[in-house]
Order: sequence, then structure tokens, then C-alpha cells
Amino acid sequence: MVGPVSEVKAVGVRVALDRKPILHGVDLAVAAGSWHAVLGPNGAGKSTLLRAVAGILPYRGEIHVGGRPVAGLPAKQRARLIAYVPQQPQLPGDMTVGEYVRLGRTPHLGYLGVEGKEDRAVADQALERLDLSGFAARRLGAMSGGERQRVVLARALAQQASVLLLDEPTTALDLGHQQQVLDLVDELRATEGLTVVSTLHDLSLAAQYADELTLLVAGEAVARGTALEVLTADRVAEHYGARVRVFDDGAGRPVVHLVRS
Amino acid sequence: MSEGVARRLARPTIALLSATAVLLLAVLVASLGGAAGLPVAGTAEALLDKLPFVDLDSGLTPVQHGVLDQIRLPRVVLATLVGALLAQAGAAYQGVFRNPLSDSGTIGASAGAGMAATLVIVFGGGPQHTVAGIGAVPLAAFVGGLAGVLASYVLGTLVGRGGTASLILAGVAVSSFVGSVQAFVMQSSTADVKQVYSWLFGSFTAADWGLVRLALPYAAISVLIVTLHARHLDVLALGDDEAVTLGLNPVRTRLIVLAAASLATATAVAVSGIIGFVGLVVPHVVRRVAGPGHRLLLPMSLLVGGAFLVLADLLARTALAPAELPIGVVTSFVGAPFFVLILRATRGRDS
Repeated sequence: MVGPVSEVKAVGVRVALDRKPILHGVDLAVAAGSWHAVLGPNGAGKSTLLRAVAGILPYRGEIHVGGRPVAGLPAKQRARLIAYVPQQPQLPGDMTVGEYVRLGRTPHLGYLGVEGKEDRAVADQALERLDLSGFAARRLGAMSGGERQRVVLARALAQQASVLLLDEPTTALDLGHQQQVLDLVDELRATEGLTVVSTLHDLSLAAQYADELTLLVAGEAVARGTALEVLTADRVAEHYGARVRVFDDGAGRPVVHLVRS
Repeated sequence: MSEGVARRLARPTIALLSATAVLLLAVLVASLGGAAGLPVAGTAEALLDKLPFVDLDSGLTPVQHGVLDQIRLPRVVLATLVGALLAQAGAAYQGVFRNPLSDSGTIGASAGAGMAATLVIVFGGGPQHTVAGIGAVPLAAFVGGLAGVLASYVLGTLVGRGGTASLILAGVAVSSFVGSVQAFVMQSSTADVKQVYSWLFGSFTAADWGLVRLALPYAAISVLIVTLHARHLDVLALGDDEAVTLGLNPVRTRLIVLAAASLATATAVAVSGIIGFVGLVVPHVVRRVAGPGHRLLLPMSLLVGGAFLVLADLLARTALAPAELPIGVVTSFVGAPFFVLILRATRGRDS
């Protein structure tokens, strides 16, 4: 249900919030159809980078999606290319799941926002894709944490964008639901041809799911590459101020452990 | 699946039809009630007779016709119009600010209108004074209401970045500043206080077809603009960040809807004074029944708001007849307990 897969490329992205520089020229290169994780200690600018790519924050530098500069695109066209799920999505409690997911069709509608048959079909498909078909009439306030995350993903899927930006998609989820959501995103990436860029604070999780990682520290990308390349004990110690041991799980995906002092 | 589709189509239609029926019933009842008694059947026939392609002999006497056409109907129609405008504007304000306590008082419309009207009543020759055939007080209230909103918007945009919190705070600042000026003016001119108060609590005693004609164009424009932005308001409910990533410009949307809702408020206030509670309560009651989607909420608020104010005005002019209660007193006195009842009866929706 998605158009051609898109690569994401950012060169020298600078963002300032309230005149305070947050990103000092960050590069990002995400292959089409891959999962890229942005890591870094608190305040490194991970969310800011995602919000710049999403078109929420003004930036300097260049961001290209599918080979096209994002800055010049009208808002609606950009929205058809890039979907964004914030860390804490706002789900109006008395809106139904169906209504919420159909809002994902907004960039495909005219100014008055009249939905057509196809829009409803796409939204229904997104619900089905996330096992929510029976929940369309359920109110958002009655959904559990794990269900809510699925609803938000369905909304993003209904948007039919080729790039999915996820800001800490596992926050406030227990272990089982973390796995469920990340597996789901990975499946969507594989089957729908989505390009996924996510921030993740859990280094081992990032190593499990992402094809490539960027380590962001104080607004600069200090390392990028595969998990094995980026996540070394020395580097984590240096940038997080944490003592850790890094194990190889045998599949090329390192596991990062805290070590007690 | 087909049953589900049928339900989806049927529910909004049923809701709109029921609300329309309630409004028509309210209009009929309010046309009947009053000092001069009118026969039920004859009045109903006379009302139907006004519809295009309907030709009925109501059997009303010429005097009864006069009462209906020149006294009751303009008042009922004006009350419908004002109630509809206030309720829909309230729904729009609540959607724009994503704050259930918002109404026309939130962003300085009521305060601006109140001060301007007070100034005209005290210094400008009072309600009898006219400018170009239009009453000076309605004119001042209209301009004052829009000026109050403009001041709040400019202040909120200068101080904040056009976000909802800074707009609400600016509205509070403008309202209390304007309110203090108004209090001072009233304090220094006690002779006019009664007149000012009677305007501040709203009234339809001056209702005539002229006022209806005055309000109609502004009402039509504002209702059209607000109604056309229903989906925009739904998207705004997800927060500004997500609205942007869905291709919407939240700041521009807020500006357009605020301007239209404020035009509605200024129009309503100009022809009826300040009538509280309608804009706050009606959208809440409608939301309980029809859900939060603005495509149903906005037209439903129009219909229910109109019916509510028509009935409130009926009560205002009959409860202590021949004396009249200020309508703002009725809407709050009757509306508040009713509101609590509705909240209680539908509280399941909160869980």
C-alpha cells in the first residue's frame, strides 16, 4: 500500500531552539527500506533531529527524502512522504479508533477534508494490518498502552508515507509490548517497503532492530555504522559516562550491559 | 460489515434530524407562549404557511397575525440565531484551544464587547443613539468584541509563538484589563449602572426583523467558515506537531477559525448583549451525545444552541410575566443544573 521506497539523506543539519543551537551540522544517510536508529545521551538532540526531518522544526542544511529536498515541498506533499509518531502521541480520549486512524488520510484530501471511498478503504486496511479491525468503534480512552501504540502506527500507516519517523516508540511499554511493537515496525518495514528512522534510548534494542545506527552527542554525530561498529564499550563509556560491558550475541548484534561499581 | 456501514451513516443523520426536530418544536412552543394567547393549531399552520410551496389558511385574526409576525417571530428567530452562533463559536474555541473551558470569554471577545457597550451607554447617548440607522450599542459591541480578540491575538503572538497557551493567557490579560476599565467607568457613573447591567446579562426585548437582518450576513459568513474547517479542528486535536506532519498549518488554521468564531460572537453580542453559558455548555452536551468529531459537533451545536436559547428566552419572558428576566440569568440558572445532570447521565463516556 506504499509508493516507491525512499532514502533519507541529511547534510549539515543545524537547528536552534529559542536561539540556542541544538544540532551543529548533523549528517544522516538512511538507505531506502532500512531501519536507522538515532542514539545518544539525554539532550543530545535525537528528537530535535527527527522533528527537523518531519518538517516540524525549521533547520539549516539540507534534508532530502527520495532524492527530493524536503524544504521546498508544500506541507501536504511532505506529509504524503513522511509520517511521524511523537514520543507521547496525543490520543483524544473520546475519539474512536476508526476516526483517529482516518485522520492519517488528511494529506491526501482536499481543503475541506472530505474522505472518499478509497480513503476509508486504506484506513480499514491499516486497521486490519495492525489487528485492530474489531476496534474501529472503540474509544481511544479505553485502549491499553500497547494497543494505543498499535493505533498510532495504524494512523501513520494510513498516511501511506514511505518514511516512518518514530520518536522512542517503546517508552512506557513493558518488555513484551516493546518486542511486539518493534517486531511490528520491522515487519511493516519489510513488507510495506517503509524506511524507518527511530530514536531509541535502549542501546541493545537498537542493536537488535536497526540496520545502521548514528550516535548523537551534544548535537553532533560522533559515530555511525552497524551496531558492532558503533556500540563499543569505550565509546559508550565516553559519551554516556557509564561503565558497560558489550557482548556479541553471535548474530552480529551487540548487547550492552551496565556493570555495577 | 454492511451493518457497520449502515450504522456509521445512520448515526449522524439521526442525530441531526433529531436536533432539527427539537429546534422546530422549540420554535413552535416559544411562538405560542407569551402575554397574548395564540391558538396552537393556527400558529403551527401560520408557521408552516411561511415555508415555500406551502399555502395554509391558519385562521388567525389580524391581531394574532400581528403578534406572531411582528413580536413573537422576530424574537424567536433572533434567539435561535444567537444561540446557534454562541454554541458553534464555543465549539470552535474549544477545538482551537484544545481546552474544554474555552468560550467567547477566553480570548477577549465578551470583555471587549462589554467595555465598548458600557462606554457608549455611559458617554455616547445610550441605546437610543444610532449611527447610520444602526443602534450605537450593537455597533460598539460588535467592534469592541472584534477589537478584544485582535488585541489578545496580537499580544499572544508577540509574547508567545502563536501557541494556544500564550493566546489563552493573553486573553486573560486583555479581559481583566478591559474589565477594570469598564468597572471604573461604571463606578463613576452610577446613574447608568442599571442600564449597563441589563445589557451585560443579555436580552431580546429589542428584537425585531431589523436586528435579524443586521445579524444574518455576518452569521452566515462565520457559520460557513467554521463549518468548513471541521476536519482541521479534528486534526488540531492531535497537537500541533502531528498536525504539521499531517500537512496542516496549525497557526493559520487557528487564526482562520478564531476570526470566524469571533465574528460569530461579536454578531451575537451586538444584537443580544452578553449571554453566558451557551457557548460553554451546549458543545459539551452535544459532544456527550454525538462524540468529539467536529463534522457532527459543529452543525449539532448550531441546532441545539438555537433550541436551548429559544427555550431560555421563553422562560425569561414568561416566568415572572409581565416582568422579564435577563436571559443570561436564565441560561446560567437553568443551564448549570442541567449541565451537571447531563454530565452525570453520560459519565460512562469518560472511562
